[in-house]
Amino acid sequence: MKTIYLDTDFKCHLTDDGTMTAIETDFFDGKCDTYIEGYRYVPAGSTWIRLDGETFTGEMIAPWVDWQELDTAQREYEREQYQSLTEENETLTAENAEMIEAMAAMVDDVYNQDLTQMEE
Amino acid sequence: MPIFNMISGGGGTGGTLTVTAPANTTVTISNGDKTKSKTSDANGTAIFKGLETGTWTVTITNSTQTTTKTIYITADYAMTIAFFAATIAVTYPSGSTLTCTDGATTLTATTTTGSYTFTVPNTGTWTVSCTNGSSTASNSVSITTDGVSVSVELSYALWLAPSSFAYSTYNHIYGSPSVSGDTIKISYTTPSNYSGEYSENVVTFNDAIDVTKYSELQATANITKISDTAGSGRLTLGVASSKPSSYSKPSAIASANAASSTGTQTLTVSLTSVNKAVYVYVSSAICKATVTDIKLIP
Repeated sequence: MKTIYLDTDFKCHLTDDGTMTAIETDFFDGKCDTYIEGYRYVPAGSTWIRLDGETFTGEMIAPWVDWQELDTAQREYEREQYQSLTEENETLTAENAEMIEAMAAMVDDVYNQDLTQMEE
Repeated sequence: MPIFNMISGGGGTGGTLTVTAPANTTVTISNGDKTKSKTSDANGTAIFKGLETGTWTVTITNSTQTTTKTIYITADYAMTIAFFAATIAVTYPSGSTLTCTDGATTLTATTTTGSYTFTVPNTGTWTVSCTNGSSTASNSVSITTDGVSVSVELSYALWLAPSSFAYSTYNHIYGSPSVSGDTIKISYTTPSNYSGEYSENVVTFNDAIDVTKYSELQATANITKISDTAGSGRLTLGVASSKPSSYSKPSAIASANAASSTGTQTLTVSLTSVNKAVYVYVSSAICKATVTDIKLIP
């Protein structure tokens, strides 16, 4: 569930300029900022009149920016997210390997110390 | 462009007016009770001699049009006068009757081939309409100047009758959608052992439809139940980029939800920024309804 803000033309924004209406919706879960701000959200009980005079009654959600542009932005966002998670995973894997190596070295040290003490 | 030019300084009375008009057109000039009329020759020329100083009205007429200009003659004059001509080129579904009107004048296409150009006689707002049986479409254009050419494309709403499209239904244990003729029927029964979970009943058209030339998706819903002890229900008309394939909530590009009240209501989704092939679907949860008249409107 995400909170978005609607201007007087029902266009979605991520931040409130002090005049907007806050709406909670799950429609944009997982969507990037560009995608969200390319949409118009007409809440239930509201009416939006399009430039050509057509009337739309809420709840209606539709892009006002060409959806394929928004989809491209979303795909890029998801690619970056995947890349970021992959890098994070690689870092964690490397850190994990270092820790295992360090633990192995510690075990070796203890074993060698014990062995030395036993020989003495 | 000037409509007349002084070509000599003859002055005083007895001026000669040379009118250049469309060929073989009736040219009439008048000043008070004096009226003269001639037919322009093959070059479009009509000459009036011996005209006294004063305001003259020059009119050309043919079987469909009249154009008038007023000039003040003090010497010999030459002027050009033409009928107003702007064109509206219309592409429309072939076989349809096509008309063009500004309220005062109505022009009718003489063919039904799907392409026709109207020559309109004056400025104004012209409404182009086509009809074929119960299908109608229209569009208005503003003609503001002589000589302009504008294009209009008309197309009819595309009715998405489930009976004429392949479709799939996905249902949940607490309800089921079905298609009967052109009606989608969504049933729902309040579960006796409701566990707090529910999912969607989905009817989707199997084939993606290119909605580039449509501006909205519309359907009529008659809702008999949209909430119960399980909670508030929902009925959604939407479009998705991939075909909904289970009884989970479809990932919509655009959608409209019915109001949470019973009765008949129209759901309309704006598609002006959706320029691709999409899957049209109806989904619901905790809802009992029929959905009819699903159509894409240009």
